[in-house]
Amino acid sequence: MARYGFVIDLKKCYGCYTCQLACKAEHLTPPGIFWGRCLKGETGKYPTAIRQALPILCMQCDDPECKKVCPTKATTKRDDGIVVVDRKLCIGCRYCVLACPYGARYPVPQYRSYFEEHKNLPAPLEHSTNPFDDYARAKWFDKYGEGINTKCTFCHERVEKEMQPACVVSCPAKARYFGDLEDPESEISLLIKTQRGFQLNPEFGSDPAVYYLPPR
Amino acid sequence: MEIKNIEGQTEWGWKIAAYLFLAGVGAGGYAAGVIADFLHWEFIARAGIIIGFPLVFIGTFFLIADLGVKMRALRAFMNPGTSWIAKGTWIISIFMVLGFIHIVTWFWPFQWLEAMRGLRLALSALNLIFALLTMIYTGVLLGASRPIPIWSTAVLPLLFLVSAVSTGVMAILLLLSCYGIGTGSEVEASLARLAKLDILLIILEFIVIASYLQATHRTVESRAAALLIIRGKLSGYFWGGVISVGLLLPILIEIIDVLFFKRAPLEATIILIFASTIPGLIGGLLLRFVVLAAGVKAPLRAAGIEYTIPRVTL
Repeated sequence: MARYGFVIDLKKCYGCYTCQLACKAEHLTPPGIFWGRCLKGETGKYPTAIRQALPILCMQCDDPECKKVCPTKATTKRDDGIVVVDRKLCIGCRYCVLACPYGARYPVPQYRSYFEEHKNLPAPLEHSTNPFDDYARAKWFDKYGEGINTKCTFCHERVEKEMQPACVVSCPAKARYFGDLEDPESEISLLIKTQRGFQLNPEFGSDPAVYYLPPR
Repeated sequence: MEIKNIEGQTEWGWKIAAYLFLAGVGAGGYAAGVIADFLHWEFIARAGIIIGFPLVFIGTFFLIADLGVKMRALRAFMNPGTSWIAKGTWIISIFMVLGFIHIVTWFWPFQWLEAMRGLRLALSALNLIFALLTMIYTGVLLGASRPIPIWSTAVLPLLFLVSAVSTGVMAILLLLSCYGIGTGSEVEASLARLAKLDILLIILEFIVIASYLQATHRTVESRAAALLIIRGKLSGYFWGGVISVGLLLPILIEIIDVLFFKRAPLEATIILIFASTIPGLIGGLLLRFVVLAAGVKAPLRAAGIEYTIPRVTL
């Protein structure tokens, strides 16, 4: 069985937030929820200051902290290494949000629409939503719902159809690579080996499946 | 290197703080009551045992109210052995069941249990263990969240234990002083004894809080959390609430009370004790809130740059 993984090349990433938006477009996540997101950091002082983007997503750890703290076994790791939340088991205690070292967990206490302000507009916009909103809401409640925790799933529905995750396909810098970590000949395994690939915060010992290539 | 835009977690807010407080007071009061029962201190024993079950029971409603899917709360019982939430659910449930049995022994048809002192003490001793676990596990529960170093310390369970016993004793004092105002001198000796004990507990709590904050200097993020408590957004709650109202005010009133107990009129001393417990209990609640709100996550580190994990805002 494969173990899916990511390589994100920080040399190529210029922090355009396309991955963040592609994820939203793919999964129709409500406002405030960013399964994949792009962080910006800076270091140094004036003549030599550096600003660097860091795209993050769920690291699909081999030994996930979120799975250890889950009181209902709603969080499980699939055979392909993808960590998933069972919406029927999750009670929404948000312990996993606190335990995740990578901020990859997003609780949805209540579904919110992007178009809520339309409700306050005068006629003829008196309908509460629009066709896209209805579609997004239906899709969200079909797959997830309210009160539970949600997270990035490496777009496993796409991967099962032999497609690449949405953020990989959309990345204009071609900085993201998706593949099998267990196959030593795969593109990502070779990249990690030849270009000093590293994991974020290895001190937590959870062995993330997302590797980064150094920015310089 | 200092972290910019330090923010504590907001996932677990005032409802969890209220639960931690109520469970602490209930279990702490019960533990004090049981120990008093062993020592034949009738009034303290009764007051302590009677607050145990109800307070923890009220606390569980705050826990359920905080869940995303409240209807599934009972699922937390399904996997004891996995998470500290699951273990804690069992701990407080056993504590509540035994505590409830202990209270009903005073009423018909369970009075035969009250008459058999040996059996009752065995029940108390067993439930004393669960009372201690109820006080301690909350600290371990927070400590299991490894990215938040201010919680992942062995001092936190100790801090919660000391604060639980101290606030539990204050709750007993509150109950007894209310009773004392109504009935006069009966509770005098109990109050004097407990007030002295509470002074010691408050001094101990000072020491534990100091060592808790002192132990934070090792990592950048726990230092940031400590600064948030001492100088940052939470400093008002900490210095004004936890330290001044919650510890200094009660200890001052109690010291005055103990010093002049024999000389002052009895009603005055009882009212003074009553007045010392309310701020003490408020301080206990604020202590839980401050510890929760100071939960700063370790930043992500890549190529020498630190990235603060954005707070989930919904």
